[in-house]
Amino acid sequence: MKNKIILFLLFLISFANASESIDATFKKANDLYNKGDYEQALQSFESIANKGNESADLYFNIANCYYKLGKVAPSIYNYEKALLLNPDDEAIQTNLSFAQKTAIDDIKILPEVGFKKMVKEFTSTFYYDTWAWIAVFIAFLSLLSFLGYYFGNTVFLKRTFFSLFLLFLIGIGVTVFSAFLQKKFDTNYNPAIVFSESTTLKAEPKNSSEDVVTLHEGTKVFVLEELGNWKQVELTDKTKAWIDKEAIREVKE
Amino acid sequence: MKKIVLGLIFFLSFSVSAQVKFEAKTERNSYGINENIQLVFIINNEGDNFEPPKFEGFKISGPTIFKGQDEETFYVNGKITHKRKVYTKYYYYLTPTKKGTFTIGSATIEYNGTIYKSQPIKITITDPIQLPNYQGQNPRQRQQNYDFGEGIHLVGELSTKNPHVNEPVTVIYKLYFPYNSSVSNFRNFQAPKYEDFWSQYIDMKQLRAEKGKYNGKDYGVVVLRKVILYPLEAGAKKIEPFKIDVDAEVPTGRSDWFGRLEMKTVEKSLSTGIQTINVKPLPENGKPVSYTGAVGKYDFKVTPSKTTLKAGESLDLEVSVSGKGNLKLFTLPKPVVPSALEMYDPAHTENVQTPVTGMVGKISDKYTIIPQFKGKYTIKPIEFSYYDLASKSYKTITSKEITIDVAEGDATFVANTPSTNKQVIQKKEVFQLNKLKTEFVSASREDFLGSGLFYSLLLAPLLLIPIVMIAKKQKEAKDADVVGNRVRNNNRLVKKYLSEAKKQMGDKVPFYMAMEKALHNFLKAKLHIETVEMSKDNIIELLQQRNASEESINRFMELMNDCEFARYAPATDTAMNNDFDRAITIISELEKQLK
Repeated sequence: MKNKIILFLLFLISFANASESIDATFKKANDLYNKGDYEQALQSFESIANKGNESADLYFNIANCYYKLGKVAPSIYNYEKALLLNPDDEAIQTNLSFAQKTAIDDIKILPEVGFKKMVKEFTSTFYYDTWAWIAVFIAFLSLLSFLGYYFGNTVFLKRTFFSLFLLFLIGIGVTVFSAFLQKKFDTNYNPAIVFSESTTLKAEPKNSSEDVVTLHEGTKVFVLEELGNWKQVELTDKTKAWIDKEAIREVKE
Repeated sequence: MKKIVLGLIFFLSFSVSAQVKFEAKTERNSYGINENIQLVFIINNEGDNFEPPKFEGFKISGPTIFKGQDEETFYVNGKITHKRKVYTKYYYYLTPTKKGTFTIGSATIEYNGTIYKSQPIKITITDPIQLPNYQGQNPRQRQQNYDFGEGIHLVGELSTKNPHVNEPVTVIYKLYFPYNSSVSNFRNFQAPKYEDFWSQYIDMKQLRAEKGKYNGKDYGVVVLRKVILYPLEAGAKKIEPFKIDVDAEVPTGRSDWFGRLEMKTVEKSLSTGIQTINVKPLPENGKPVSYTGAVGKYDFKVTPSKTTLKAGESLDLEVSVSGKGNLKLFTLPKPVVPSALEMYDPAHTENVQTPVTGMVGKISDKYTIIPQFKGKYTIKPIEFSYYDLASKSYKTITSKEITIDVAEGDATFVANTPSTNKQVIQKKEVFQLNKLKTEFVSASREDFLGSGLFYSLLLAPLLLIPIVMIAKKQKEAKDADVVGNRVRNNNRLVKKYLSEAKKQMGDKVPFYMAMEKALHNFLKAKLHIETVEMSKDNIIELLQQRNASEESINRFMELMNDCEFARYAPATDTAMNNDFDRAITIISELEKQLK
């Protein structure tokens, strides 16, 4: 029994040590970055990521290293990864635009329009898990307001609580719906970055097919489907074509 | 007599059938392979829908259609009749492509709804005839040509007969003539078109006769023209004959009065034969991806005019290839630049000389690049590949990577900024520094949405609603049960007062009061009576009705009496203890009996 407790304590200590050393590595890597030793900094940052840790800031720093080393595709790739975790960070957006300027292709970005855009804008207010927690919270509020209605002893109280109860029920519906919709949008949102220096997109998934467009390193595409060695992608200007699977890397991988 | 009539009929019918005649004609039946054959289809009338036969083994040009009419005058029985004869001729010029005997099939033509066919003709094509002088138009001259100037040759000399695609081939056209003749007045140069070749002439400024050898004999030779050819595609390619007309002064073989050879000037048309060049394709093996068709020996350079500049300024990027080879026949590789560098279409310059050995010089594309934003941009290395004829292999030259450092421009390059009098303060975009602190999460997280916890937490409050409703209903039902409630209440009071009595043990008055209350409440609960109805007789009667045993009833009544009296009589602790025990016993006894 004693032994077990000691073992457990040791485990706790080692665990604490491990997390401490990650923070230390992070700090050390930042120091290396500030000294201009981008290669070493990059290695340290990546060692943290390789241990199964992630954060928007980590990917951001990795991307900065790649940018400083002049590697377009990996830097854009990591900025996109950081943006997935923290979509509203201005620093990430700014540096991503810097990296995009060093990319070769300049493809128009066609904005989405109409009702779908409004729905997307609404559901993307929160991450889908946040939506889920909000739904749970509202469910409890609705219980409370029901109790208020049920045990309220004046007409006014009963009326107020009953309307609140109805309101919260609608709230549950909306939030749960938003959560699942957002999750669906999220799974359908598969950005990928072109890693190969230059690759030709085809109209059909075979080499002999007609060329659609030639893309270069660092261009962002959205993966729709996969077939054999090909992936169907959509460009930001809504062009759809097939790309060699090896030429791109999906940001969500 | 009959025979005459028959003969007449025959004659008439013949003349009728001879009215429309359609035939094919050539001058001879046998031609040299280097000769042109004139083939003519003649119909002695107007014809429609002329259909030529297939000319296998020949290249054809034509038809040239010639329509004409003759007028004939007849004297018949002292009368003069004019008859117009219309005829149509279709001329074809055939160039043989191989030796052998060929049959030219029937051509068809339609006249007045009847279709006429020509007779097929046979033509034999023999070895080339070294007297390409059938060009002359009158037979007399042709006759002369046969006799005179036999030793004059026009030859096209090829530097190689088996070049690669895009390897230069030099053709030198030379005129050989015997020493005893002279040639002059070169005219009617008819150069071939050199299809499938890129060609460049080098005209001789001065034609000079030199000594030369042809077929082992001494000849005078004049170089007429040099042509550089670059084959554009692989395969057996023909070079059409080169033709000129000259005046040749040739000896007639007779001597004049003074013993000098008599010379005669003849007009001669000369032609080289058709020559075939076997163009070899470039090896597919090891062909670089960046190969665009350059063959020769080259140097490749990419030079920017400057590498540090401000946004909005321009720089020139020169992509140049210099050396020897098919300089005009390939495209220069295009540089690939980041989207922030605006690159305009290049200015192409060629500085190429073409001596006999092939093109030499430099071609370049000059791109103007204007960086739009501050930053460091790299122009990727550019590859240029060519086929090296000397080593018979592909060579690739890769330029160096060029880094362009763009500083913030003086005039910030912002398009579509509305000009206002106010000074616009623009947010300066700066490359952001690393984040110094972060909180890590595990890369493999579970989703909350859709998990069991999510569903239970979401549904729990909603399920609680009916539960609450049911609970409340039950409570109301209980509240509605008045008698039951009273019983429960009295039972509760029994316990309450008993425990109070136990507490007051030793203190006589409160103890017995509590005991009394406990007993009363017990009766209230069991017998459903109120305090008012509580007379001793009534109690006994009710207890009996409820099947309580006589003994228990007596003991209960006794205890009640005792409690009543004890309040006013002195009592000991022992008595109190005793009474309390008795109360517990009797209450549990009656409890069992009163059901």
